[in-house]
Amino acid sequence: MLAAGDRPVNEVAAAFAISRPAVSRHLRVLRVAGVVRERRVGRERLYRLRPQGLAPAAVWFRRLDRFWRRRLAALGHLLDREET
Amino acid sequence: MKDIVHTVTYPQPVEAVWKALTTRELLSQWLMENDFHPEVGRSFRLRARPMPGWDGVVDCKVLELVAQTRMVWSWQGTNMKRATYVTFELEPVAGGTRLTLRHAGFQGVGGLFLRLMHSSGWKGKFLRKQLAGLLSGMERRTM
Repeated sequence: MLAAGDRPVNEVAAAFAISRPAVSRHLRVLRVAGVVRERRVGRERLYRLRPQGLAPAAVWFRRLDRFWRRRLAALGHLLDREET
Repeated sequence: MKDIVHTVTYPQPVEAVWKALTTRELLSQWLMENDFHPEVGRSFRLRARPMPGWDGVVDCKVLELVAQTRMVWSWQGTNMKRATYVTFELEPVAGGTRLTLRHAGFQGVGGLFLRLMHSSGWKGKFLRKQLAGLLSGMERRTM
């Protein structure tokens, strides 16, 4: 939902059927964590996702993927060696 | 988050590949230093070189063991909140053995989000779950 662009707090609250203060609290946590960005327009606060806020998880995942590729290549070399 | 999957075909027979997967000494040569024992229910530990943010230790357990066919480990790095699962599957193919490795059980964006909510002291489980859904659409694009 927030990936689509700026959304005011009450719209988010309506979508989740929870109180506006509760939603504000959640969004504050996400903002501090760098997952969402806050923009003020007049008296309204608009929120949207920051894809780059999720980047560390993606980097970690790619690293693990590479780890396995290399280990399985090492397994191949070991099997070749064991054979001789 | 999606799983990590690698499929490799080795020219050796299934017996040789299975041995390399289930023998402590051979595992240490291609994977990591370890105290593995091929027995369902046995815990073991893998040790890699430490790196920033991780001491190089992975706690594992043998969950399934079907000789020359399939082996499943739980896999929890000391930097991981909960266990993930590694499955090795062997299949004899013309001229060798096909190994499929699957590393599954990653929490993904929703899980990352739950951790954030949790660490912030927010205990409303139902709301946490609902809000995790808020981010789930992101997953396919970033992971």
